[in-house]
Amino acid sequence: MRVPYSLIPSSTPMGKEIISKVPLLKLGFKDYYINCLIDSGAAVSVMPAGFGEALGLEIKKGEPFIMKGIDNINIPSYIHGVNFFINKYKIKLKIAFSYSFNFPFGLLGREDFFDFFNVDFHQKEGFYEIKPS
Amino acid sequence: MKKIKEIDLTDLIRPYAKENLWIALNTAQDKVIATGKTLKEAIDNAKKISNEKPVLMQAVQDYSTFILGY
Repeated sequence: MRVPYSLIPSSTPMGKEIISKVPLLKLGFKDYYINCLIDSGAAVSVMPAGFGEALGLEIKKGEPFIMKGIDNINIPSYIHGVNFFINKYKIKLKIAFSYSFNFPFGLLGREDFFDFFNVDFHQKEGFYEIKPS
Repeated sequence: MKKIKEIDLTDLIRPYAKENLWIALNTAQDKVIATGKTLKEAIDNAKKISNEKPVLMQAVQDYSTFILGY
């Protein structure tokens, strides 16, 4: 499955406004999709707690998990197994939901997601390709 | 390899980025169908307006913080 990259507003370290090309992937739930960034640098998939609450999860009933962020900051979270669709593929991912993770989209990390799928990035051509592994 | 046209979200995001609203895009991601101050509100507002399955994300003026650089 070929998925186009997404273009979003960003800036350089000098403050110049630019447009960044990122691999966003829409995860399909029953009534809606949530955009997630494919982040091979992240060990686990992470979402703001509000994403889980919208799915009807009782966040604090999940398995407590401390993530290590940039600058060695501890990010408390709760892991839940979540079912969703990527195109025709139904998969279950372990996702860490956190009240301290205020991101505008979810992050798809290596555990589970990169076990289910091989991802080939073709940034210059404007797309990435997902294939079941 | 043949180039594929990217999904350009920049102009769709900008009107809602100042307030950091959650946006519900149509499935093709070329139109904003609803917004909300929370994810849940955006989902509920989208359901009222359209039968289309929306794509949710938060509008932000500058995503560089979330993508580690530019």
